[in-house]
Amino acid sequence: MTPILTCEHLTKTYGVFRALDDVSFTIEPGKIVGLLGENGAGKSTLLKILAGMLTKTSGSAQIDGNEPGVLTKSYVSYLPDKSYLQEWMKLSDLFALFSRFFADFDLQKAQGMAKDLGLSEKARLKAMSKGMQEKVHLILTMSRHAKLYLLDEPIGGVDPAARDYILDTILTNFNEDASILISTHMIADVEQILDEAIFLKQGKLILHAPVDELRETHHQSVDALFREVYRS
Amino acid sequence: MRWEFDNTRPVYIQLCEQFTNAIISGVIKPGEKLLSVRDLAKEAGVNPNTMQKALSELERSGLLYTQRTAGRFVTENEEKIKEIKQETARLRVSQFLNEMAQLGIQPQEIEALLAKMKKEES
Amino acid sequence: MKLFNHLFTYHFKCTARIFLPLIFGIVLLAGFTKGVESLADPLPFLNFLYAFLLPVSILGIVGMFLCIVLLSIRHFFRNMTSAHGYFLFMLPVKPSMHLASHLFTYVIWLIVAGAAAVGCVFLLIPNSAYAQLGTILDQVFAVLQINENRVIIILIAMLLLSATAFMCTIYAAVSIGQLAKEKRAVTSFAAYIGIYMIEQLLSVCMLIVLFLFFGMDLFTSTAALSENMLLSVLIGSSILYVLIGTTSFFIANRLFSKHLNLI
Repeated sequence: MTPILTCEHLTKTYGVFRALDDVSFTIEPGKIVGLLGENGAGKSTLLKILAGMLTKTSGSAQIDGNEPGVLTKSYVSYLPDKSYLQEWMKLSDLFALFSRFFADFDLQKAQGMAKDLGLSEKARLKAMSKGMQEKVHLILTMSRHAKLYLLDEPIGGVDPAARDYILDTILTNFNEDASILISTHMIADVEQILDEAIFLKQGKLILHAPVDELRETHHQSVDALFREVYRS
Repeated sequence: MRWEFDNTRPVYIQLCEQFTNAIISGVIKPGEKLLSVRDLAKEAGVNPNTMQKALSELERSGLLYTQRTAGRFVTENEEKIKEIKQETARLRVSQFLNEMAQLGIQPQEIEALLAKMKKEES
Repeated sequence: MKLFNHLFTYHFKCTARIFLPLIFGIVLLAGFTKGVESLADPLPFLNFLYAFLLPVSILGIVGMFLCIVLLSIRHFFRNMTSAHGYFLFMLPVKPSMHLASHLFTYVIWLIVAGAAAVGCVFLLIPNSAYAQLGTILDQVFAVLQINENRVIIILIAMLLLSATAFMCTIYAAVSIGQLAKEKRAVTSFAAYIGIYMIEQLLSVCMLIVLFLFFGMDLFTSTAALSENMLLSVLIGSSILYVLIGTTSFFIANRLFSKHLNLI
């Protein structure tokens, strides 16, 4: 199968600081891949480059055969780690906005998810709690029929019930031809839904393997393995 | 079905075990239709690929079968289920005997213990 | 083109929330001032209120333009460098289209505000002066010895051009500022100062060339402005604005395309 994502020697430097250091890996279609690492390991930087928010310094990244750019943005659905929406907008405004700009946005799906979560389409973002706003961002991201989903800390600051719903949403809303790259430092919470894990440490990729294989060979959870690898 | 996972072992192996347990204990009946991979994955909170892998494994062992259009079913072959039940019981017992041996308890002692416990219960 | 329309609509909505009430408020204030003036005839005590309202209205018009320019800059800066940038740069749209749609939105508002300002000025002219207005204007143009229609058209075109070029230089400054890891507003401001100095240098050069071309002695001549002279200064400035505007736009587009650095 041709990979949906290929990174080769991807590097991003700020002066002498190497935020991403010679990172190479591929992701096949239909996989949920965890991008794991502590804060500052380069997870967000990698996702930002793939989403076209940041320009790489060297190396290459190809998403379905194209460098991140206008074209890839039409089939990559990105969830940044911060709120990017205008707070005065209503949920229905946002749905209209996404329908207009993204050909792959599924309005009915978005409306269904909003209903499930008990979010009124007439409600303004300003009137919502931080947790609700995070859910809105997730709805917008997962309602697109994208080829690649880039989720930056989607379960960052939410309560356990919301976290379960978010993981549920991710599981039910991605299609078999799409892949999900999901960054988090809360490994224990996501490892059950992952196909593969990528460990990043100080901008370097230190491990990339199927989760089942890791458990089989190390007889421990990915979370425990991660702590071990990180300490060394 | 309730799903419990231990994070130190591959998820698909645990799925296989739990399906097998459910089938041999009759929680899932012979000939019963299973939910779709997607729904099962959602129910168990695992990756659909992992669920798919577990189900394929169970098909290979003969506990499940797929009808191309209708979906996936538990085998109607009760002999097969019985056989796997026996196998599982045998496996557990041998595990148990191993543990007892490690504690230095002889098979005769175990038999005596079992008889005593049975008496106490009744 | 469809995406451009969507972008423009988005920016227009974002800005209209503030600009529409602002412009409407100023027109209302001017109308109110006129009303007070008219009522002051039978009710002389209102003269006091009118004396207060007239300068306030005039300040209001100036303030309205200032607000529109400053808020447009803020809107652009936030859209391209802050968390809001994640939304815009997530869209399958070229950076040049982002720049163009911001620019177009801004120019539209300037035209709307300009029209509103002209309306307000006419409202604010004292009733007694209306009759004399035409003659005063005629005298002004007669003194200047110029064709009023042509100059007014060129003047408006040049104002729009200079405003557009100004915003392009702001965009270039922000595109340079976003390269910095922190203190992006300060870096953008410094970049703008740099661009402004280059701009001033170029306009001085242009004026010198023009003066030489017309054979004027820069330091002693007190001759009245000729229409040709005025026209060529206007046209020269226009060319300069086009030059500076397009160069700035090109720089901004280049930096936002190849060196985007959202934080």
